[in-house]
Amino acid sequence: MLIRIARGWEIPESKATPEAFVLGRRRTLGIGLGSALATFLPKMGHTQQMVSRSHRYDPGRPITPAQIVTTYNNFYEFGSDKDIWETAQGLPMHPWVIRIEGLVSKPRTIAMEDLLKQVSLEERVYRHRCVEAWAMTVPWTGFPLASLIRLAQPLSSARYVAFQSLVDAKYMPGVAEPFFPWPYIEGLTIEEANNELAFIATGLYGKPLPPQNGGPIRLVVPWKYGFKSAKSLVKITFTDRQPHTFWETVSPQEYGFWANVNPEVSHPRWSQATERLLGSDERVPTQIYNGYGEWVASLYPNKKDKRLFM
Amino acid sequence: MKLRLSVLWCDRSGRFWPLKALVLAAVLAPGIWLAARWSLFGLGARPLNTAIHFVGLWGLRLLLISLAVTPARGIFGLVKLVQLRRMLGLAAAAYIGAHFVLYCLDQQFQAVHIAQEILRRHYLTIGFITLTGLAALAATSTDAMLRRLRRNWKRLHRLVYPLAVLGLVHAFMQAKLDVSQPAILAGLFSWEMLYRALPKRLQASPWALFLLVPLAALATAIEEAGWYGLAKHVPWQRVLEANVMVRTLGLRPAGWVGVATLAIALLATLRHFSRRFRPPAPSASAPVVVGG
Ligand code: HEM
Repeated sequence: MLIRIARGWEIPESKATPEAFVLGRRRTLGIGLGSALATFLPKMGHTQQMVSRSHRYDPGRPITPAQIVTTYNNFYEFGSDKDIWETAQGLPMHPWVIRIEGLVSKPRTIAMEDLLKQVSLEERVYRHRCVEAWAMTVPWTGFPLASLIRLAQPLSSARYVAFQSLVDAKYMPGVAEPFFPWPYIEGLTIEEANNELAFIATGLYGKPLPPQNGGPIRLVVPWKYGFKSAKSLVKITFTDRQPHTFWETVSPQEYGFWANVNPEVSHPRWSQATERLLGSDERVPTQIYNGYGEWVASLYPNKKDKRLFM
Repeated sequence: MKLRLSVLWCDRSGRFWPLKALVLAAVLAPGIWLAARWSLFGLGARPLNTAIHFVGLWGLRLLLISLAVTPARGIFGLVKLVQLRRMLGLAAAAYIGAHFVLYCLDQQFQAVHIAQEILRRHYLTIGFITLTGLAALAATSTDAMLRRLRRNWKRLHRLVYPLAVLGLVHAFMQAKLDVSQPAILAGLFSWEMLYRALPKRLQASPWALFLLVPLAALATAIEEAGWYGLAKHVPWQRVLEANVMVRTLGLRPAGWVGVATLAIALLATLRHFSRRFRPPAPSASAPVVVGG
C-alpha cells in the first residue's frame, strides 16, 4: 500500500482554486480566505493533508502573481541574468538529501521525505525584499527553521548556522565559472536562526518549490535582504565561527554578513529608502527589518552599527 | 534653415542611398523592438529596469559603432561611410537620453532625490558627466555649428573618445558582478584605439589587422580580469585562466572580441585580394567625392 505522506507544499488554496481566481482576488486575500477556499477542497477528488495559512504574519500587501515570482530570479548558479527559470527546470528535485554537520551531537544525512515527516507544515505569506530595491509578497509553504535546529541537536558551542547551496555543473552553467567562490554559502547566528520568523520553505503558491526559487528546499529570512535566504540547500553546518558568505567574499564593500533591511542605510550604488513592488507600478517606502521589527529588533541591541544593515 | 526628412536616407548630393536607409532602419530597430515588446507583452517583473538596461546598452553600442566608422572607412576604402557617422552618433545620444529619462521615470521624477543620487553614486555621477558631454556633441553636430566652430569643432568632437571611456566605466560599475557585456564593449573599443594607433600606411593592411586580433583579445582579458581583481574580490588569475577553458565555458569576452576582430581582418583580406586579382576597372580609381 502506498502511504501518502504530506509533501512539503500542500496547501488548500491554489490546489483547490484555479490560479487565475486566486490571483484575480489577490487584493482581497486576507484573514478568512484560507477557510473560505477550503470549502472548494472536496471537489478536488483526492485527499491531501491540509496545510493552513498562518495569519500571524499578515503581509499587508497583495500577493505577487506567481508568474512573476517564478520567472524573475537571482540564482547565479544558473546564470547572472534574472531569466534563468528555464535553465533551472533541468535540475532534478528527487531524490534530495541534506547533510547536517559541524557542532551537532550526531552529524547525519537526511532525505527530504524523512525530514518532512518530522516537521509540521504551514503556509506563511512574507514580504521579500531584494537588496536591489525590489520586493515581492510570497506565499511559502514550509516549517520554522527552529524545528530543523531542534532535530539537528546542536552542541552548546554552536554559535552560527551556515547554509550551503547545491553545486552541480551538470545542471548549473553558472558554477562552471571557476573564479566565483562556489558553493554559495550563507549564514545566521544561532539566535537569528531560532527566531520564529526564520523559515525553511519547500513550497510556493501551494505547489512544490520550483528550482528557480530554490527548490526543493531553501531558507527564508524575511527581515534580511534576499541574498541571505540561500536556495537549494544541501548542507547545514553548525559552527562557532562566522561563516564566509558568498557575496561578502566577492564584494565585501557592498554586501555584508548581516544584511538586515534598513531604508536609511544605502547600498553604495543605490538608495534603499524605497522598493519597487514586482509586477506593479508601485514604489513604496522600505521599512526597517522589512517591517518585521516586532519579531527581530531585539536581536540587534546596537542599532547604530551600520554593518548590521549591509 | 529648412529641415528635410530626406537627409535621413539621402547622401550629400541628395540622392537616395540604400546603405544609409539601412543604417537608419538598424538604429531605429532596437527602440521599435523594445516599444513593441513592452506594449504587447510587457517587460516582465521590473519593466523600467529592464528598459533602462536595454537602451543603455544600445546607446553605448551605437556610440562605439559610430567610432568604428573611421576604421571601416580606412579598411574598406569607402570614404563615403563618414556620412553615416552623424546619424550613428545622434542615435547613440538619443538612446542614452532615453536611458536617463527612463531612470527619472523609475525614480518618479523626484528631482531632488535624482540630483542627490547622481551626486552620491559614483557610477551615476560618471553617467551624468557622460550624458552632458554627449548632449553637447549632439547639439553641435549640425552643419551650421560645424561651420561656426571651424577648427574647434574637430577638437570638441574628439571628446567622444574620453566620453566613450566614461560610458564604459559606468557600464562596468553598474554591474552587480558579471561584467561580460561591458568587457566585450571595452574590448571592441580597445581595438578601435589600437587601430588608431597604427601608422597611417598600415591602416589598410590586412596583416596589421591580423596583428590587432591577439592584441585586442589580450586587452579585453586584462580589462575583464583587472576589473574583477580591483573592484571585486575575485581572483584575477582565475578570471584570466577561464579564457582558455573554451570547452567548458564557451567563449568569454576576450574570445568574442577575438572572433569579431578576426572577422574584420578576414574581410579586409578578402577585399585586398579580390582587388589585386581583378583587372582594374576603369571606374575603380575614379576620385570619390568626400562629404560629411
Ligand atoms: C545621468 C545619466 C545616467 C543615469 C542616471 C544612468 C543610470 C543607469 C542605471 C540606473 C543603470 C542600471 C543599474 C542597475 O540596474 O543597477 C544603468 C546601466 C547602464 N547604463 Fe546608464 N545612466 C546614465 C548615463 C549613461 C551613459 C551616458 C551611458 C553610455 C554612454 C550609459 C550606459 C549604460 C549601460 C551600458 C548600462 C548597463 C546595461 C547592461 O549591461 O545591462 N548610461 N545606467
